[in-house]
Amino acid sequence: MNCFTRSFSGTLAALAFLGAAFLATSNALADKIIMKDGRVLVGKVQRNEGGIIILVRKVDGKDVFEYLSADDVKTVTIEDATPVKTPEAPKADAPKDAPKIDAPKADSPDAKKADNKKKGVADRQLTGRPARIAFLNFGSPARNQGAEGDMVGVNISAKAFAEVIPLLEKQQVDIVVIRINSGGGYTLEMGRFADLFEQVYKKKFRTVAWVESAISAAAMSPWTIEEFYMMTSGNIGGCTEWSGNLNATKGINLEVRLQQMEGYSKLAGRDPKIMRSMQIQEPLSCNIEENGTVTWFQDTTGQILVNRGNEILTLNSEMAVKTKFAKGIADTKDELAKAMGLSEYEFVALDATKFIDRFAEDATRFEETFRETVRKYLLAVNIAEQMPLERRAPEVGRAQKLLSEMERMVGLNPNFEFHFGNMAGATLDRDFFEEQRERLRKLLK
Amino acid sequence: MTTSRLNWLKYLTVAAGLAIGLHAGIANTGAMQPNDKAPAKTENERTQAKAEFEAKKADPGVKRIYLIPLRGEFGRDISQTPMRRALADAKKEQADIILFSIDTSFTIDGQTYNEWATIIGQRSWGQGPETARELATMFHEGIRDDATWKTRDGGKPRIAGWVRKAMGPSAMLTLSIPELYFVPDARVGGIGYLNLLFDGQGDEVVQEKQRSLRLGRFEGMVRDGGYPVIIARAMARSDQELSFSQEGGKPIFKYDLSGDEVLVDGGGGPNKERRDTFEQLVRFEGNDVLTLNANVAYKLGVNKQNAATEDDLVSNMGVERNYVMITDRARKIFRDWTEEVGNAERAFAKSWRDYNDIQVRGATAAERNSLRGRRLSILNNIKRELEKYKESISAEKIEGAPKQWVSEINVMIDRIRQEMRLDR
Repeated sequence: MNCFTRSFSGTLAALAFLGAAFLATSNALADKIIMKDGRVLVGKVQRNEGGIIILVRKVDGKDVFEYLSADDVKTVTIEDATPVKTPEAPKADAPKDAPKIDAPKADSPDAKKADNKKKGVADRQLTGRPARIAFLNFGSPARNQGAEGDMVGVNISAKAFAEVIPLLEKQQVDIVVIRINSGGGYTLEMGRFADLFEQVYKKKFRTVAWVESAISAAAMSPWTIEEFYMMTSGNIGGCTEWSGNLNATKGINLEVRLQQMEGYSKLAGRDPKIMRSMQIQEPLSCNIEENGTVTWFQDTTGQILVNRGNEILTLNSEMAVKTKFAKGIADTKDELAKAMGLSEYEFVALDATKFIDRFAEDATRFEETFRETVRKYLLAVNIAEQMPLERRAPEVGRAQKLLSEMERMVGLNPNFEFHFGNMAGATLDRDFFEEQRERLRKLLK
Repeated sequence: MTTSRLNWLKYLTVAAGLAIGLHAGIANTGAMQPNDKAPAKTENERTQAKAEFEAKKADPGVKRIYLIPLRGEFGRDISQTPMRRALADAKKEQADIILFSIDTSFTIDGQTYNEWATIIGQRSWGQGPETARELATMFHEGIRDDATWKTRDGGKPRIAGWVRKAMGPSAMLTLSIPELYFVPDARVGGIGYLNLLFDGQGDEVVQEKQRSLRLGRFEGMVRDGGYPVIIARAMARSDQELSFSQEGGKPIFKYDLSGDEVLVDGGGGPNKERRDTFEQLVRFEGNDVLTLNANVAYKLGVNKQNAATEDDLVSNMGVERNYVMITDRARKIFRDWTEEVGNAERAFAKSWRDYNDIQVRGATAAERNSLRGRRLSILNNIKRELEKYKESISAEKIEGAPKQWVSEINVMIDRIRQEMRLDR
């Protein structure tokens, strides 16, 4: 059921997906490319290396990606050489008190506050104040018997993880444990999560990943977190991107993804070879020196064979700890606190835990019922169309109610525009709902 | 995959399929059932035996063993609801030991195969790992994290397994049980050839991803059981070499054939000359993938000790002097579940016939709506049954996944209600 990229049908959906996947790093700056044929393209240069230029342009309000060969380009003008990332997660629809997740500038009051916060965690622990630990479920634990879906970008959303931050802050949480149990999901959410964890969580809290099962996008999303712990049965890996009938991402798109994960590995202080073996069929081995230093090799020459060349890596807990990928093994919250080196701690912010769980529950329920809501809506419209004008009003009213219900469902998660769009046969954006409302209005005239 | 490999696979699959009828009868006898003693013959004898049993059970010095027999098809007969009910009953009984008696058939998606047809093992990797993992959490985290679950001395129960046969996905669940005893002719396996899963479909790198994440889940279960994680790979993939030697009573594994005993020789990989032959397979002498028998399992530290009889078992478990075995309760729970699921599947077809028999005709709206009401009632009944048994009900038997049916029925209900509203 779970996959790294779901199978979308149609180029439009694929474009929407690609566009969304890159939104996390796009911004409003206008870079300019003058082509040798005289055309001038304005947008955001995503990448300019290896003879390939990726330009993100706005077309009809949507991001469109153009892959250009440097051979065809005359000049590239970058407006700002050091663009600031503007993550997508807390968009306009986030509550007003949800924090912005723009990275605070180094000398800004926010940055100082974040710094103080970090110091504060250490100080409080030294002075005997118990560390306040919150748990956020990145996917419903297996003990819930699959009651909720576990798909990244559907049931697990960066939007919800951004919106929950005020609750964590209100409870003066010191440590946030991201408890992972997911088989993966949409690529586009990965970038949002990576930015959110890197730019917000890690600055505000000691952020820790605790792995029951982290497959594909569920492994890649929290990859920027340095501190990983495994459950005994834990596993992490299987990060090959694919779509359709087990078709792998290839060519430049694959290179982009590999490069993206190299960047995340660096942010976590992790050797990029590990993730590379999780993404493509590359061997992996390592040596561990007496002082504990681990040296990784993208071949099988190391003393410890971690991945065979023809396989994709999924680390089990034994290997994860042996190779120091993970800091320890813990099956209970108390074991985890101990593994984190805490002697005094308390588990807090249950409301934050519930907030995330409720999002997953709602998304699961909506997923289960959206298709039938669409069918009921179409049925209501159909009936209304067949009724004489004077008897239409109740049927149109019913259709309007169902349309509002659909809109409410889509509103939970921005990804539902295309995720549910597959069920409805259209992208469920604002235009779609406006067109439908207009259709219903006309039925009453 | 090469043509010869495909032919071989096809031939073996057909051969395994042909054996179904012969095999199924044996597989479902539930021959090894501890305490399968002849029942008391008279009412008085039964009453007396029960009183003696209860008196013994009440003795604080007597260990209570709660037996959960796992029989039949994994994912259908063995699923969350009966497991949850049985464990809840074990909790109520304050069992000191929860003993799974495992004798499952090599049945996947309703088809029963011969045990030697290990090539079928790749079919275990569909929903198998997830179901096994979810069931395993019930007796791992489920008991550990339940503060109210206590034995009479305030501790947690021991979790043990007595294995005769665990072929197919039930092998995954079995290896998450931390204390296993094998009957001498036991077999655990039937989950091999993972390296052929999705073969010929899409790109190889994605096939490998799918295999890897499944193996990762299984390795996790083996780790939960406390067994050497490397055996998961040997049981799952036919393109690996693994051997071992005993040192100080412990297995030392080698990723080649240099150990004293070869577990798997990579016959499913490039070394075609090593591929298991039919002669080897039917004699259980193949080693392309690992099927644990009692002897090998003992050497690998998986089988604590052989136990042919209940006496052997309780002796090996160290409770032979004073114990009671609660045998009938969980057996009834699981049998009832199997029966209920079968009934629900049969009722499904009948309900649709009944539904279609109701033709919405009538001179008045009241008459027509009354008939529609009857249709609604049938639909609601079908929906209730589907929701109750969705974890086990066969999608093949009802021609669609229960979830999809429920969604379809919801739309039908909506449509009928609209018709009723408009027909006034």
